[in-house]
Amino acid sequence: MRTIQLPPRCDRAAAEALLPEFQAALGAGALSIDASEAKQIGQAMLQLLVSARRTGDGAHINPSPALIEAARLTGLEAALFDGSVA
Amino acid sequence: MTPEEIQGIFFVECEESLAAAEQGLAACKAGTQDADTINAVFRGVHSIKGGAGAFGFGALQAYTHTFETLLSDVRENLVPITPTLIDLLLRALDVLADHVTAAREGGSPPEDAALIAEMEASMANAGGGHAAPPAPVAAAPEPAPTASYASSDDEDELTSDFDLDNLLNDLAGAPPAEMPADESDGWEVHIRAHAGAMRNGGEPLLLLRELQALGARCTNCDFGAVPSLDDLDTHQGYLGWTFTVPSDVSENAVRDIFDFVGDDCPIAIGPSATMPALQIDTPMAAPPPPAPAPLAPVAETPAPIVAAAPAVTAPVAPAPVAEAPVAAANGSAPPAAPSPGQSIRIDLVKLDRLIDTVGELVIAQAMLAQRLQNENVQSTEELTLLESLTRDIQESAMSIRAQPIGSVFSRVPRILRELASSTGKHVNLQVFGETTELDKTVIERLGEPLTHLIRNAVDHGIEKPEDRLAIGKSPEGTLTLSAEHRSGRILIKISDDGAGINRAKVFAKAVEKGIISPDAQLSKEEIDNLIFAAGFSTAATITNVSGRGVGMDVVRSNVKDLGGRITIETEEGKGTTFILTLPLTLAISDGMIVKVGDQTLVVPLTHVVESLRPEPKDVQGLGANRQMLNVRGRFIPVVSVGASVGAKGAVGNPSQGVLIVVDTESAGQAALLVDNIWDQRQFVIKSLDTHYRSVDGVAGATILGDGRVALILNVDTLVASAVAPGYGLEAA
Repeated sequence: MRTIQLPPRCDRAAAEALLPEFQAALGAGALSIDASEAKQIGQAMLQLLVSARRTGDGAHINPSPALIEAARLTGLEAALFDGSVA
Repeated sequence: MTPEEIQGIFFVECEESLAAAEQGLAACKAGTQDADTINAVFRGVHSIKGGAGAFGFGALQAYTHTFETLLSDVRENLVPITPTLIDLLLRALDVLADHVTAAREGGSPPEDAALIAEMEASMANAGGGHAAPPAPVAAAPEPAPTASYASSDDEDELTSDFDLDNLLNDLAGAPPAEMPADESDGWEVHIRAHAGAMRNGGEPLLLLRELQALGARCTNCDFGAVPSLDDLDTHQGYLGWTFTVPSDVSENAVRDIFDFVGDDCPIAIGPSATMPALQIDTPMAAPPPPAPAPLAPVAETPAPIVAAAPAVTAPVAPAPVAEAPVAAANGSAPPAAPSPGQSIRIDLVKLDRLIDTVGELVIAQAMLAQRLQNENVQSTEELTLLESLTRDIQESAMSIRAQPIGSVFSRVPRILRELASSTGKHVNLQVFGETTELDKTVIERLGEPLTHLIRNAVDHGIEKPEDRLAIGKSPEGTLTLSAEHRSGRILIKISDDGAGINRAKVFAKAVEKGIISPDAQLSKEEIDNLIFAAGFSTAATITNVSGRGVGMDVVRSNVKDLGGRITIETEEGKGTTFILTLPLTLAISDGMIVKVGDQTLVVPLTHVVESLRPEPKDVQGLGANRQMLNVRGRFIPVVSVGASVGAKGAVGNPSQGVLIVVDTESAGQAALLVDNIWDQRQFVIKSLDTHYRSVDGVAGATILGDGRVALILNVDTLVASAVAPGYGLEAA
């Protein structure tokens, strides 16, 4: 399983830069996304994560507190996490 | 449009962005540290970065990147706002301004390594993360956002939000979100973030966070539209939210949050309101169908126009086409369409041509009036109408050129910061009347004298902190700038709460410099005015700030060139106020048309105090050929205009002519002797410099109603050259 590491600043620029990496990792089973370093999360990154979860075999996200907070703010906890953290 | 022209626009926008950022930081310093203020600073820096990248200004772009990152951290509360930080941001902004100047003039970029290190250190200390990938460079002019979202007419308005939420959740294939709260528990707002909300560094989540701060919580997220990775476009907004807001939070409080983003983040309010429809921006989006939108009223106050060379039309958001989702049951209004910023940039040359033509129109109108008068057709209704229309057009044309003086005042904080670091005197700035408008040309030429006056006030006026403490003042000085309109002129005051002018010291210095004789009898005002004399400087040591004695006389001549006057009010120990009186425009002025022998001349009304026909006893001879006029017990010199301009057949005896008492900058009052006064009217100033060459004693020319050219007197130089140079001619 391939792991993609998210940078601390997950803004639109980061989402844009990571999208090709996400796309390239498709077809190799579920994605593993390490978001433990993410400190700032923007809408673009949330959309990317939602999309990753809904594409192919889905994705497992290892969230940072900031990501959990952002997911709670936007009502996306259920959509992003497997239930263990939500 | 050529790349050079686009680049020209970029630099104009840089100036605007810098001014906005400066204003924001000043507000922060003054204690306003809310999200809007920080956002304004961020946007300013961000837009400079975007353009810098597009035009290949590498150094500028690299610098703004660090600056922007720091601001972003501040915006997200990762870096706390402290006085030290604001100070750092202000210094960073100064260097940014230098960077912009270097990019514009092709100079070498300023030294910024230390500052970048400092900014990075402040981010690292606060634990803020650094973006791994560099932010993409925005294309220079962002495409106009296609405003308004699609109609939601097709949604059944009777569908309750509860059902809709479930429907959306089913569509999204997600487990049902938290149930919407009970009606009594609060009210609902539905939010959709379009692509536009994420452009230019915008972040919808920040708005949601503000909403959360009001006590609202997300009850549903509509993410059904998020496509699979293959089709995902990171520039689009796919998410929509329903938030439940506590019932004690007003609707306006929520609208205020989203007002700023307008159509980029539409909201709908009310339990039965529907989520604003999804809108995917495509570059080739078809224009919205024409709608019977009412004509937008032209803004009454003219937008300040800071036009550089090229002319472009600013993006004007199209009128909203679709009805916003209607809140049916509770009757709350649909989101108000934000009024688009209706302004355009105009080529300055075009504007000058318009002003010029209006000037000609004024002349033509005057000529027509004259002609009709000659034909004994007087005071016809049509002529009166034409006259009032002409005046209206002229005023409108002038108001287009008018700009708020704030653009000059906004440079002052930087001057004060630089002075604080070089003199150790920290000065508080108070600004009043920064929205006062005056002609762009006046504004442009005001910068230099104002800078001199401010440097002078801080260097010479305001005492050192320890001296201030010793006499019971607060250690920080205060500089007050104010601007106001007064009877067709603009009054600018620069006040400091410093030591005031030490007249004994000024007098001694003027004697030492040979400007006056030691036994000269001078009034207080005359002593004060000595500081404007060329080569005068009282600074004990010459500093690099001021003190070379080139400042104040330059200030006075600059102000005089603008048709203005400068006066001083000072009180020892309390401070000094410099008062600049300037005309609102340089193109049109009021004046007295006078006859002098075979010449018709114009005396600008700004100099005129009164006019009188003297009795023979009022005029007394002085010396060989000088005459003095007794005005209510005060003697002022009589200046024969005929002799000064060499007019043939002019009246030489004051009691046979008319005396116009004028105020001058350099030589006090004087009485101009003319044959008679013909008329008093507005005249259009034509520059002699551009059409001929500058002539001493003549400020310009104008065309009279009968088509003849009349010279406009430069009262200051005329009087100064006629009366002997020096002071003390005025005697009580």
